[in-house]
Amino acid sequence: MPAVRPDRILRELSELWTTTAKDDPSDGTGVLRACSMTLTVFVDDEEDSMALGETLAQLMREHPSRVVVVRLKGTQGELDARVFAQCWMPFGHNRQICCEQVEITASLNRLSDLPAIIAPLAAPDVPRVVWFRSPRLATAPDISGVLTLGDKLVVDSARAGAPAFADLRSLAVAGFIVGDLSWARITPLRELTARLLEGRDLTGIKHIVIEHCGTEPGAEAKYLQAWLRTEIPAALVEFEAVDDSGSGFIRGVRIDSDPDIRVSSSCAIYATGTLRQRTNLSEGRDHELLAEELSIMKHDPVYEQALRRMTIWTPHF
Amino acid sequence: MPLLRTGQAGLPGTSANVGLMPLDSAPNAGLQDPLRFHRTTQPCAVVIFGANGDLTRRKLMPALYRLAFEGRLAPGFVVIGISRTRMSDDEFREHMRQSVAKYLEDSPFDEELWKSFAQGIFYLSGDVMSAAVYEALGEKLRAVEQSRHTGGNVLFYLSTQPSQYAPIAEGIGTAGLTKSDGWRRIVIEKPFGHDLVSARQLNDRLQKVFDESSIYRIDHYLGKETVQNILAFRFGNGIFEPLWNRRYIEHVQITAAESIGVEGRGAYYQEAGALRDMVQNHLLQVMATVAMEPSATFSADAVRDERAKLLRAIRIMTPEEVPANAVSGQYGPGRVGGEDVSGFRQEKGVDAESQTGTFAAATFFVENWRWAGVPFYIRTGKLLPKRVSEIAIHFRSAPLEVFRNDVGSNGGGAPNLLILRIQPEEGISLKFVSKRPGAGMTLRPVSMDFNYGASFGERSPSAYETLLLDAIAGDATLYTRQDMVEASWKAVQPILDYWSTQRFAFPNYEPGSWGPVAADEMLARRGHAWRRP
Repeated sequence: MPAVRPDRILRELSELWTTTAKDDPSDGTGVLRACSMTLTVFVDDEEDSMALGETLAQLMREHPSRVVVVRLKGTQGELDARVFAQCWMPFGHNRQICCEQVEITASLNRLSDLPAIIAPLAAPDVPRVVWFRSPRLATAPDISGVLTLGDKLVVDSARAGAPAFADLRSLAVAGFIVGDLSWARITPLRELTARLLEGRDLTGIKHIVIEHCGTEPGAEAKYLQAWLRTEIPAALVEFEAVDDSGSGFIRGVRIDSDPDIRVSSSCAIYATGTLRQRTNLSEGRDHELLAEELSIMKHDPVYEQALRRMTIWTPHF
Repeated sequence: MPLLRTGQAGLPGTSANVGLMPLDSAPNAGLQDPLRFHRTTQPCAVVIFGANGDLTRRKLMPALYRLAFEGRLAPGFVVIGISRTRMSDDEFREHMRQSVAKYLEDSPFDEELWKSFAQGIFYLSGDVMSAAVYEALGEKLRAVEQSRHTGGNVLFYLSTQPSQYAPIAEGIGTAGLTKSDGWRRIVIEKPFGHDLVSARQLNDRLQKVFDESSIYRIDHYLGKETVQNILAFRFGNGIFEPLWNRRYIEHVQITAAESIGVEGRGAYYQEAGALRDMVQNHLLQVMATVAMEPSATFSADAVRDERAKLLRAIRIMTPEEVPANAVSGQYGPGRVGGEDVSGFRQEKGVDAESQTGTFAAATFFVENWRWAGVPFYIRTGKLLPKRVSEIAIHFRSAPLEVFRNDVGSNGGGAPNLLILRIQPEEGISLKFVSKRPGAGMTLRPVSMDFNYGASFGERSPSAYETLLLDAIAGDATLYTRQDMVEASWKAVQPILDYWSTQRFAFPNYEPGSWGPVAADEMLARRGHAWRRP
């Protein structure tokens, strides 16, 4: 039996709301409880609590949720849990908005106990999302139990310890809805590219170069290559390292067409022939990327197609 | 990490290929990703007549810049400003830069992005009543079509005096500027005429140049997120629509209150008045959105057909019915917040004996099966206690007051109230009664709130961003159509006609009050009272 009982956590959550309402500093109209999903986040215990808290707080404004943060410690240790509320008073409003948060600390050897604890904590009638941020999970012998805790599983392939693309594809093939923040990170760039190629004969495009920093292309560059290969099958899509330092992130895209298209300088300036323009490409902070993934609670055929392209070797003729 | 072990089953009830397509059967949808990409718009030029005016500086250019910032406009996007003032392209760009930096809301101003955006901004000076300006415009449009690949698509935006709408449209037509390989559309701002006859005359002249499908009559109220949310609320949920009729709804109140006076617009306002300025257009459109039948689809014409049907179903008052169902008011001098406030008649440009109303309230009835006998009370005014726009749906009381002998003094038998707040705190509240904890059966009213801004923290686009993007994309759902304009003029025309024969004892309300007493009496005659927002 796990030492942490879901019934107790739920009771504490209930008491938390009563206390929060009593302590409400506003005009006595009470706190507004909002919940649009259950978000379970797996993080390493060493992860900066403040940074994660900031990300979740930002996310809660758009996706108010019951959040279950699972802090994974080394291989040995006991389970522990605590509950608290995240509240904020929107500017110009007189009522606090509060979201509830459960924090569970567990060691890897107690991973198998977690599904029985977390599953009953899910808020009823709203989607469940699991966000894997813990590199430690990569060393876990079996995490199949925690996979069932989410209607959607979200990873970030750019982070250390992220699952391989082949594993993500296996999940998608098995019916899981999968999201990757690295894929979301290139949405503005893909959208701009799509816009610049609008109305052009795609079969006439034979060569595309993805420029990246670092010696190897990062997850985003690989995703972009897969997407371009899928959408423009006649084109040879190659990588080019333009700067030895860095983590493989995209620096620019060159598309040989008539007129040539170049998206460069942190992807903010683009040129089509003689027309040179600037646009705002969001850098994509974690909460923004996650918000994009949370807005798609179904299979994403474009992403899954790119994922498949990445995991199947296809010779280019 | 081995996420799935070899041989491990996937999710229950799923096949091995759910969500995946074989590579050779990928959809040939171009480079699109409808789940993630924004709606695309075609390259085009937006021609703004009245480019040196307040609307352009405060609303249009900030909205266009914001759309560019978000990458919502096609590469090569062009703005051509036209007004009388002599200016070079660069001078106009600098004026617009200052305006955008000043009036941009909820967004950072990016100088580098502005420089790129400003490359597509041009300016023509000239008199819109003269043919020369249209010839110059034609040349400029041909030039930017070549240099910036606009495809011949042009949106003419008339941000001018209403009296210039028809002459400008005719100037465009005479110069042959409606003919192109691309699309040509025209956007006009309210007022669409000053009465039913003039509205029809304006329309006749516009339609000689533009097809009705190319005429976009802007009503920025319909562009507000929360007005659009009324449709989502009503037709995206199954639980409210069965209650949305005369059987369950006692009456509806629509309030658009402003806490400021005419603020230097006295001369304009004196010609318009509250009924023309707010009720004939914005508030009747809101009423139509609240009361319309569900459309079969969400296409522009399907939604507008239903709105138009509702407006046509508004019962036209007889002259004898007007006094009991419409109230005009005008604020006098007074004090608000410890400061002296001028009366309307003391405002600059206003006649000292002005009979123009700064407050209007009216009772409308909709003659169809859904709404027969349900009063729709509408009120709007200047210098009311607070700035608020809302729709209050008053439901009928429970048929039997089973708690009448038990309830406390503050809640028993209180009717349910659904509040759709348009501004400033956009959202929805449902008021109902609940038992007060403790011994005894004491009821108290409680409120269940949905706060649009708090529940969805992302920035909402301004009404002009939404409407400009819609016009560029050719989506007229949120624009009014001529039949809607005529139907709403028909609804208010008897009131205007009757009021034009009266001499009111103005001023008749204090600044900072909720309007004249007659407005309260109008509801009291039916046993109702205005909600205090």
